[in-house]
Amino acid sequence: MGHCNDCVVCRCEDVQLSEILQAIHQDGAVSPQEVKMLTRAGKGMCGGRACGNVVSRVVAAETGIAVEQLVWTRSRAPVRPTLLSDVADPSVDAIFDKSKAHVDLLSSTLHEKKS
Amino acid sequence: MDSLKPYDVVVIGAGVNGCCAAYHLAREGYKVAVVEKGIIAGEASGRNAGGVRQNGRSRTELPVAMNAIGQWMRFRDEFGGEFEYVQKGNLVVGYTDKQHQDMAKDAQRQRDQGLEIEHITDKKVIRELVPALTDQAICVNYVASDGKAQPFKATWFVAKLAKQHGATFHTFTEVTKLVREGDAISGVETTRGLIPTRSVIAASGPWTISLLKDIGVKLPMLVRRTQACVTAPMPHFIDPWITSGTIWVHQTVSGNVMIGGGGPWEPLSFTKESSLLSLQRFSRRAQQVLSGLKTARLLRGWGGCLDVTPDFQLIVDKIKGVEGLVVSVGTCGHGFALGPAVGQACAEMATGRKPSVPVEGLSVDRFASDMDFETTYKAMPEPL
Amino acid sequence: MSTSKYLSEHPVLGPRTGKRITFCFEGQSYEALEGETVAFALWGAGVRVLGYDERQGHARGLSCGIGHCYNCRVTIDGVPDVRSCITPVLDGMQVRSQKGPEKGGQPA
Repeated sequence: MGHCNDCVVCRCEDVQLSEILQAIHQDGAVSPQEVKMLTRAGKGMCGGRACGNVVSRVVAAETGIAVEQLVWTRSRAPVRPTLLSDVADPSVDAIFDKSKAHVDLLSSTLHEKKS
Repeated sequence: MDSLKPYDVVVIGAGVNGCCAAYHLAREGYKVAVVEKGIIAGEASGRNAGGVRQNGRSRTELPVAMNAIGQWMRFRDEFGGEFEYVQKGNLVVGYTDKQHQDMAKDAQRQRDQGLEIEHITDKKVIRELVPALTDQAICVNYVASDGKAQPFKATWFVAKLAKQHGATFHTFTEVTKLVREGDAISGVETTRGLIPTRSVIAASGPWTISLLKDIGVKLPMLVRRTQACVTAPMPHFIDPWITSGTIWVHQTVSGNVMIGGGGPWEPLSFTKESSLLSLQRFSRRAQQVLSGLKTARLLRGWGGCLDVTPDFQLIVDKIKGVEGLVVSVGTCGHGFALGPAVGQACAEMATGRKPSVPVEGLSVDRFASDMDFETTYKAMPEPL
Repeated sequence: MSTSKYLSEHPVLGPRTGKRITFCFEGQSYEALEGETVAFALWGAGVRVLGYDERQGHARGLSCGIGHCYNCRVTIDGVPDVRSCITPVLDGMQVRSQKGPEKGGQPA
């Protein structure tokens, strides 16, 4: 590998192959998770759908680790970028207001000082 | 078990505390190994929101934070660390008269401790700091020198410095047991073999609880999840970090708005999954705190495991009765910023010196020795 | 008004029929058949650049075409990050490129 260093692997976050190779060979990344955190590949709008497979295969090719042993992030909510107003639910206000009393009670009861 | 080569100090956990301790040890010439079950900064240190703040710290933790800020600035400015560390301020927001009174008092307390902090009630000034803050805010406590960083990259930078000074990192290596011979540590058993050492720094967050329990040391600590989420990138419209009630909000250099915050509704387990309830809460509260989020799209959520203590402050101490065991745990989700200072204190304690960072107030014996944190916590009424 | 350069009669699917509607992209009027997607209608009119990458400013356009990669994202009637490849055109729709924060976008 090395003949396509400027090709874009993560289109959402504009991450080139050279950056992924740098994360592996200079920073010591040996897993897709580390590459993701160091380069932002996979942190974009598509949730890593387009680049995840490629990132894993690059890590495998460069480290010799079998690609089956490399874990890309699992899918999680929200599956698609969703408007905050569609996720927000006013009913949660009442639920979390109740917990404030609990936080206060916890602080006062558990903060034991040695006499 | 195979015996690996010995080290002056073995650090358990390559989180920010562990990496900072290793850096401080290595630069002084000590032979140090960091043993990490996963990747560097794979747990809370890589999952937190990256707040680098002094604002609102407790009386005990504030001097530690002030020391740490100086070290982060040094890492960035003198050693060329690139971890998105920007200092655009930290705001705590108040909405009621009671909060206003408490915050004014707390600002004065922090000022008395040497922090440059403003308690602001002038709405015009507040609006200049955060144009998007909703009108319900009646006051803020503001620290201009506070900021945020990308904590995964920050921890990796310190780890790199540590390696450059000669520290060894054993990643994907789990510590299975501390070896205690009578009243002293003699080594660390790992999945790759036994590492002989007379000095251990246990900086492995909630995973420290069981490690220490196995050698008869009980710390008042519980594991508890906390969560965060980000939106898709947006044009930049928020400068400072904002704390409002039980959520915090800030906008990263990439334009994503990050929202998060935990509490007693979170389970006491090692789970790191997002919950729909929290994603709903973050989405709802953020829009109450800030305008400008009408077209913001939630991109992903994640969680992390906190190590919670009874007073929500760290435990940084030598364990009495066990020679050669230092702990730095109990970060309760606000420990990333403190790393360099806590790491330095641990490096010093682990090599027979008095810490140069003021951590006396973070000792284990501030808690009653017969305290049963777990039973008391679990006996609390259900919060939700 | 730009009209679609697509075949009026598809060799397999037959004649393309439907109500002719108009929509706006970046201030210019375009024609479409009701039921087509925004990206499809623009493609037929020769439009390839749908927006600009928020980071480096590179031109972006249709990529996967199946609502998967978000490369085709545009702002429709004030709502950003809508996938034009799977969004049907409606009469009078106002579609804008997203030029990213550096190019003067504003949060709503």
